[in-house]
Amino acid sequence: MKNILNYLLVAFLVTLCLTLGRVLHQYIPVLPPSLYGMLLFALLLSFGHATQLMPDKLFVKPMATIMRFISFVFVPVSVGLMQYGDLILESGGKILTVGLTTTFSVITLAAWLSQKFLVNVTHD
Amino acid sequence: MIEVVLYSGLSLIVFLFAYFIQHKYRLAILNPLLLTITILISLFAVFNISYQDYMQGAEYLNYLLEPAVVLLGYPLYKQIHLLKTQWQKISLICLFASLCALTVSTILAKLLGLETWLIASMVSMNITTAVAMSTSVELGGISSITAVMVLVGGLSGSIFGVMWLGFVGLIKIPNKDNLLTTPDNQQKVLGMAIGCASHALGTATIAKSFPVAAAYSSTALILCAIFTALIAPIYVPFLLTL
Repeated sequence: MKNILNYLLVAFLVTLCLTLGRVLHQYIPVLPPSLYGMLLFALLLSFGHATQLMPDKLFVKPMATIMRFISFVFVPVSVGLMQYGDLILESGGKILTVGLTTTFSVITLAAWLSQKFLVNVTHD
Repeated sequence: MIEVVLYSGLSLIVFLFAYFIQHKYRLAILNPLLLTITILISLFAVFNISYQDYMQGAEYLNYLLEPAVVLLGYPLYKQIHLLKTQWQKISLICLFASLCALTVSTILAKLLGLETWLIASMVSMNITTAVAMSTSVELGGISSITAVMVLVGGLSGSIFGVMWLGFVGLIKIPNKDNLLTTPDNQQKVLGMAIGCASHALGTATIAKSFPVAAAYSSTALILCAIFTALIAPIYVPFLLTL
């Protein structure tokens, strides 16, 4: 029963943050509403932790389960790929070239910059 | 109503099966989302089911896409101590990584002669799926192509990222039989690189063997998502006009 209440608390907070994110987006349309919601959710959790109104233990179990299966919500939209079979046959090689070149360029640049800026710096 | 139960239920069963397979064999290539897409598309091809038929029953799952992005606030909150002490350096690295991803993908796709809507669908492939999709739609792209490109970015980094960084000499792993002993400095470099390029998929892959890297990686994936969502709507149309 306690677990179910914790899941319901997460659902309520996410809905609240998303709604506030939509309101914020109307006035400051810089980020998508969901990203505003994400930042608000992080702030809300920090506030809850600092004030002990919502201690971490309430979220550990539901969040671990949700984060494990979160990619399920992307299934329907990803299956939409089946509509682009011709495109893949026609340009699949080029698309893959762009994908791999970009990914390895970013990996290399981020690692090089991290070596310059972060190595030998402790955060404790 | 029967379509909702049939197609949403089928999606869930196939996803849980794919999750079980990945959990058993622990190979990045057996990513549950990739496996689920492959199985479902194969099934629909065999039984001659169109995407429109499928979406009549599964479209309600799309209402969960926005809450999924909001939930990413949790890993951000968990890593907030990293940001407090090193936020300037980590932010700068993520900003340059986001600019690099947008520049390389747009310019290369343009040079290869790909159409504008396809480029718009691809440029946000190095950030987490939910934000990548909304950024892609804002640019005039197609979210299902974006979702697959995100998998390309995630899987390639997950499978070859560590090997590649060792090959170019940016990290050194002293004991390959016990990855947990990898020095923190090496893990910082690895974590930032994987988080910037291969988002949550890469982070999940390295988490078990490189715990310090995973902390940096999850911070980087969130920051890169924010920077890309902010920059792409202005920067990509500019690059396309060059």
